Amino acid sequence: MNYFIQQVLNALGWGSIIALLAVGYTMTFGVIGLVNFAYGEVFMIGAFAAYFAVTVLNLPFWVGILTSLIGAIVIGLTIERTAFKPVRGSGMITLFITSLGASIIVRNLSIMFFDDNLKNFKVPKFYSGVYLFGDIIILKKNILILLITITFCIMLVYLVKNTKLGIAMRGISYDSKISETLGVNTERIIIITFIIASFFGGIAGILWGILFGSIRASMGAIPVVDAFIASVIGGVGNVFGAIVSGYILAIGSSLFIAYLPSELVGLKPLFIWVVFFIILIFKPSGLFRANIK
Amino acid sequence: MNTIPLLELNNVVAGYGKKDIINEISIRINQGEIVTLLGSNAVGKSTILKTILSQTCLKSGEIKYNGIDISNLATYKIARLGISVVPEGRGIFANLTTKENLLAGAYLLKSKQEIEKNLNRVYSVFPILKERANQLAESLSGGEQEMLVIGRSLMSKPNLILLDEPSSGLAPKLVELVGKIIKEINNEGISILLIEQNAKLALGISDYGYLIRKGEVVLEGNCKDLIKNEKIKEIYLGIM
Repeated sequence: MNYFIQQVLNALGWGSIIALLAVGYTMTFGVIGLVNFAYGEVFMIGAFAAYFAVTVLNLPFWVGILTSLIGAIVIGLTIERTAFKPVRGSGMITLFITSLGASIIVRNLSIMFFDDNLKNFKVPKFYSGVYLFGDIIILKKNILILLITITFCIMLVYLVKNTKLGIAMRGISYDSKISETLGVNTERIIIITFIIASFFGGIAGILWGILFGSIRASMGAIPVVDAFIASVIGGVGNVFGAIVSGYILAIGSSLFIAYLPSELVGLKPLFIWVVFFIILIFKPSGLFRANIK
Repeated sequence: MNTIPLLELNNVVAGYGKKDIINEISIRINQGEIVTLLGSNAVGKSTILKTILSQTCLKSGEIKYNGIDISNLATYKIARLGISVVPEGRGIFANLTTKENLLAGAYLLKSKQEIEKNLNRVYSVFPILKERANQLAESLSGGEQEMLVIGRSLMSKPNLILLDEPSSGLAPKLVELVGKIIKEINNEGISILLIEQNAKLALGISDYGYLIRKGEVVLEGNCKDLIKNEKIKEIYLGIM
């Protein structure tokens, strides 16, 4: 039993990152029907902005957080303006392929400029250390990451569910033309949506740095597939579903390999894909109600 | 007439892409009036409405609201002038609850009290919507959805409501109710442009009417006179 609890606790940090990114996916998908594969790069740039501020320039950590969020929002909006806006309305496939293209460009430029070696991500001391409960070990940073994630997610769920802006977002996700006739400036709402999604990407980037202590230029490719699958399982467009699915997937895959013989650890990604296919076959709309049609 | 009409279309030509659907349309709505556009399916009635909202491609002509040219304004800016819409085929947000749909209609209002006041007003006109407040809009019946859309259009305190076939697909009893409600809304001083296939309903409650055929106005006049018109009697009212 302790072993089981330990595995669940270990997965919370990773689960938080997946949950945050799944939220970003689900927001842009919900509002403009975009499966944004360039989102991993927003996350990566967020982490790099913090790395440059904190590790390279030796600035305080809060400055790193700030630069990370700004960096993520700037790159997120730049990609939206240059890549997605011109092809908006020409169908999901076009948007999807455009996002792949944008992702490849940003990722490879980053590898070109920063190379792809692991870079040490400096984290304040109080983030390290452990709590002990009997023989269960809880990493302090896992608790911190979990709390930050839950806080932002609750704020976002509240925003989407209960505010004027949230109602406008969900309205656009169903029918942007009708929203316009109600006086909603859809263009503005789309930009706000991208800012929120990029903000979550930036947070995820910092948390990745805290969790692993290092970052690299190609890191964007790793969690995005898991996050994308989490957003599909959560019912695309459903923020709450994305968060829960992010944690379920992370905890599930951690338990999956925990109970496999150690030589099969390489099969970790298998878990997520198996779950994905089962969901697609039996409940293609996802586990939770999708917001979009 | 020397007063400025509330809404005025002068020689409007518009369509989608290269194709023109409406041709040289001229329509006037005075403050406080119900004006109806009659005509059978696919003659361009809805296109006229969408053109007023800048949702089609306007080729020539002008559209004036309170004397101001609105033909190049974005849809959401037109809404901000006090024009609201009841779109064709129940334009509800199926993924929102009844109450959220109504709140979406009040997007332009700032004051919470005013929103609350309008919400209660809509609930008093359509008590069923209050009962269904927390239900998803897609779970409402057709008639309830129509009431929801009409209710939503009232939430922003509009000056002019454009109604696109509010009676379509409704049971006769509901059609009557919708007619009564449109009249009530009008009595509060809101002007109405009513697009209808149901000529009997439309002529019964409207002040002025236009008959549209193949994208052109073929007949216009006071509804009292139109009802007596032989052509309309034959084609749209059956034998009365």
